[in-house]
Amino acid sequence: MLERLKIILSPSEDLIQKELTHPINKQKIELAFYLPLVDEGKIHNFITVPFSKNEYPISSLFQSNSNFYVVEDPASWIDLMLRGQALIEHQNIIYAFDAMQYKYNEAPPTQVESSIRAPQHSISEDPTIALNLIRNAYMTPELTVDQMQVGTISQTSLYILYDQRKVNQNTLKNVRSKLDAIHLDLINSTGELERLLSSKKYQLFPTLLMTERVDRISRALSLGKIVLLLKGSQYALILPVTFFDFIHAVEDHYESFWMTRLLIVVRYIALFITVSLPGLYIAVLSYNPEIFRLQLAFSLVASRSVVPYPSFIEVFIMLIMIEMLLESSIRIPRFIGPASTTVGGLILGSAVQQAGLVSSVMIIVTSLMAISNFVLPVYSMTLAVRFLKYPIIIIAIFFGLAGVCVGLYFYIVYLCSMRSFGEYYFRIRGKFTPQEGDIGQAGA
Amino acid sequence: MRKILLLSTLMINLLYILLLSGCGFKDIDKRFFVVGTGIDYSGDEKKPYRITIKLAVPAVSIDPGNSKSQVETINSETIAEGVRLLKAQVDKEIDFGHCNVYLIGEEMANRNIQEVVYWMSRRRDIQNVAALGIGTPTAEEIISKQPTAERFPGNSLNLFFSHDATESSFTYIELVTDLFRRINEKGLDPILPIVEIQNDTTYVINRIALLNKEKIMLILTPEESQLFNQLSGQLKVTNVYGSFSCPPYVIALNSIKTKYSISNGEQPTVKMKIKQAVTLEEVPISETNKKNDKKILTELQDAYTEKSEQLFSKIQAAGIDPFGFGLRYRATYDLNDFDENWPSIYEKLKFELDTSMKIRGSGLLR
Amino acid sequence: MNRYFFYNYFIVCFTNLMLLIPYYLTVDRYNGAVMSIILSPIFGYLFLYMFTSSLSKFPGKGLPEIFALFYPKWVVNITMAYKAILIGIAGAIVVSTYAVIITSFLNPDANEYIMLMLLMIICAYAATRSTVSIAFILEISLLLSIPVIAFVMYKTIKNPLMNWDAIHVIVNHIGHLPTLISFAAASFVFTGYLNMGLFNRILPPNFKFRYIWSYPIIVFIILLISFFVPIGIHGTETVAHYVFLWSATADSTRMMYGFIERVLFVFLIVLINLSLTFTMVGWHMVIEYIRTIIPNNVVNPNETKTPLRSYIIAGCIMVVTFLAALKINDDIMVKFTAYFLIYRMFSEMITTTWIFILSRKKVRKYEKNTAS
Repeated sequence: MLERLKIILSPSEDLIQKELTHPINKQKIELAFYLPLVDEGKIHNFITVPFSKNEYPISSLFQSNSNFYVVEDPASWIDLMLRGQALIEHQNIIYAFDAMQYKYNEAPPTQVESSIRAPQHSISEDPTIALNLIRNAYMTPELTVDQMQVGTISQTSLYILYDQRKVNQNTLKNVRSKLDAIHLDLINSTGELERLLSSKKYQLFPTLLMTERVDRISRALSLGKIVLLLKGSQYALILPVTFFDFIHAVEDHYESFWMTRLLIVVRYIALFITVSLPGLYIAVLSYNPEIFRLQLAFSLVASRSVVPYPSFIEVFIMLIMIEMLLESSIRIPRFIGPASTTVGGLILGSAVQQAGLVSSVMIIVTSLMAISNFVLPVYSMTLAVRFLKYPIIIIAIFFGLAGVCVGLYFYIVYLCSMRSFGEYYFRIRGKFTPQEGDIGQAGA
Repeated sequence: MRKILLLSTLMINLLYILLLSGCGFKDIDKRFFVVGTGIDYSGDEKKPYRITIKLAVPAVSIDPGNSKSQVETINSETIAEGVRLLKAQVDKEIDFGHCNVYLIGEEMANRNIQEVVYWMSRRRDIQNVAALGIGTPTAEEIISKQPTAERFPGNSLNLFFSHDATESSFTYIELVTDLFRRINEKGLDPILPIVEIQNDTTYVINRIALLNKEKIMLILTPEESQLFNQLSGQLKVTNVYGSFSCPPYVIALNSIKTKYSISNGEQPTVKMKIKQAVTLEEVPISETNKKNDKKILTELQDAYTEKSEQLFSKIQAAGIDPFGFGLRYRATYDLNDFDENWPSIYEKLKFELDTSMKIRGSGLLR
Repeated sequence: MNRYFFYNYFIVCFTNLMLLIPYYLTVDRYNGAVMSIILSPIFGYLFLYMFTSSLSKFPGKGLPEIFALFYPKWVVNITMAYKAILIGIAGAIVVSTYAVIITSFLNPDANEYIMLMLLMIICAYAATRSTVSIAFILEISLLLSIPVIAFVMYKTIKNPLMNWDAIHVIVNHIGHLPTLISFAAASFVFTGYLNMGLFNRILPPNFKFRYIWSYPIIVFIILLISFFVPIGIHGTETVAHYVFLWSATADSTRMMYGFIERVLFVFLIVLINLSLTFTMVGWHMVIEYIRTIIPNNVVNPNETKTPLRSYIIAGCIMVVTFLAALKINDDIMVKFTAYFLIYRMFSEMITTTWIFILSRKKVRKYEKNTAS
């Protein structure tokens, strides 16, 4: 059986194939199962322990216990194994044993990528639970799990998951070699791994997607991507990714069609706002006040008339304040979190405006910017985007509206020239016929 | 090493640029928004231009009658110099970006408006969509007027000249682009609305001044102005067509379509077809039955034709061409030297008008 | 993948129509501009056909590689250097014109040269990216711009100031023979296909140019709009008064209910995008062409790391453009651009025909080989 299984199934770290031989009576059984999918205790109690104790003939156990049943069709083997059954061969008869277990209840709820109606559990810090969840979500024998150790001291187990059929072999090789090249004593979190794997040090955008959602992982696998799981970390890494993956939320597949399309548009608008709004504020206020209507110009003047500083100082005061607020709300214990929000958001905000340090329009600009920042569904992109507004502000101080446009143009150029593990990061795929081929293939 | 070299050169470049620039930076509260500009003839040959600007003083609360503004006036040799001198009179940077109304004094318009219009077209911060008018008796008086019910400075005059608030069939709105075009175009002459002050509180814009390329040649009465607006197609923009009164009837116009062609030959003729859809607004009580609708209509049509013909001849007699007959003539016929030949053709141009009205309804009454 | 050809074709068309071409066409509006506009798409199509059909004989090869098949190294080097200079000048003209536009409309108090420097730095940075990245940038920037351009054009056509008589007057001058400059200007907008001399490198091996007949037609319509609409709005005489005709035209339109009231600003922002992209594509071609001259060059349209030589070439372009902009004032610039347009037209006609002949040669060679 095992020989045949080797032919059908791709080798995988979590596929257990054992040949047991009893030392005394020389009886032989062959055993195969997917480790994360089965309850190992059950296998011990029902198969290996009775077999080794040899209290009574093992074949009679298989025939008498209703948990075992004979499988005749070899075509159903894989299917059974993926459903958490262990296959046993004894005297050329193949039995299946139901040792299935779901570990949904042991999985913690999602914390960072929360959603309303999508599955609520995230992958676990325990890789077996994580693998159990992933295997259950992605039930195909092509899913391959490779294991390796990273960190010379920590010896952290790292699992590389991919779909054997769909994965790009070049990318896989690339990732493997990069992982081999890691020489670090301790690796504690996926974030560390993310930074090590990113191709460039001074990258503005993430080229790996860190996620805790099982549905995101399984979708990524089905698209031929590679997933990295680190023992002891609640997050998995997906690679290669495109920019659009970061704008995409899992709910886009679950909820009403038109609303989700609209939400995607809203996210792009939010992205634009959060990157450019403070810069635009400076540009409009200090260079081109004629761009908007007269009424708006008047209310801007009226609200700014008490502020003693130039517009960019005002912007910097507010931005630094909001960054500190966000940072502090992460650091302080959860019970007093609301307190910091109240103090920062309500009291400080209105007091700062009344004291004439910043204008009331600036308060609106800042809060709009902060809110639109958090519309983005993936946290690593949220963080990356949070930085992007500062260069825009600097350029707006010196060049006004033209500067903002040039700055945004720079980001587009930067995005288009980025590659995530050799794949295009930011491009419009469009209609794509395989006969015609993609651009850039001829020279490569 | 290479990278560091590259980066450092880049940084030095950037720093250099940033240090040199930064001159255009001027906060909004350090700017004065001009909300109305008037250019008059000062009477002084040496310093012919009298420039008046109305500067908005923004207030926190926007209530009717609460608007404040500051008016500055100066005489100068040229307009550009005048504006530069005005800067010395105010404490903030003068910004023309939001100025939508430019008035030319009547005296100025009787002399020459070309300098003013060229100056406006040349300046980058003056919008091409800003409106122009003639201020009577002087632009200064109109600009410095503070209407009592104004919400914020300059808004009242501004709204008169925009399509989104008041829509009157008497008001002709002239934009900088159009005036500049008319000043240069062969066969199309400038038009400007006349702004006056009524009852010392508010503005009236119901007359049109027709100019040759330089100065006022003819001023139309309010009735004529409305007729002019109807015939020139200016009102199409707002779908307000005004009315026509031929006592004892008054009709409201729902739509006008004018179409004309110029025939060449011994006697060049403008054949114009005016199609109107009308509603009866005022009919004597004795005649409120359907029977003599036809009679009323022919009477009205004839009256309209006659009035229009009178208007055309009046304009023709003044030797100006605000309708663009000359341009149409150029488009239809090949004319060798337009400037030389056209005036004689225009002089003997005959108008054949044909008005056809269709009654849409008779109001709410049967 | 035909869309990447589409973008390359239209970036040339849009940028120049909005910046330079109407100027030269309106100068000759009474003598020959109309005829040039009508004739130019025919020539445009002819050369477009010749160029694309010859390129399809050399899949995946850029101009330098094609020339290298037939001629010794030094001939190729001279040709490439010459082509690079021509393209570089076009990019320099666009970027410096745009710097003038920014300083006259957006930042009136700013220093023109600093503005130019900023634009050039971003163009040079973008131009040093790999060819594939350039294609993506081109795509994104055109997809962002085309709807706005269409909107601005629609708004200006619907402008109540539009006077059809003026257009009629100009159309009546159709009988005049085209002048050299107006024809050169009109035909320039049809020369976007020349970018394929480099971008052919990234096209997939079994790529076919499709619907190329439609390209000159679309550009012709846009050319008509961008020539006649300003005439309809500014009249037959005043058009010749404006330096930046389309900026003035866009400023003559108001969006009564728009978030931004003045169409001019929308237009200027799109124009930043377009002129940066145009210059980027042009300079990228310059960089790639010059790189083929330098020994030990590796042609890789999807290179991950930009080699130092690209940066050096980009720096040289910047310095030359900047020095030229310092020396040349607006008047000379206008004259120079006119001569450049005329010269470039003849030069590109010759190159296109040359390539066409080479491609036929290749076919004949191939036929001879199979026959023997």
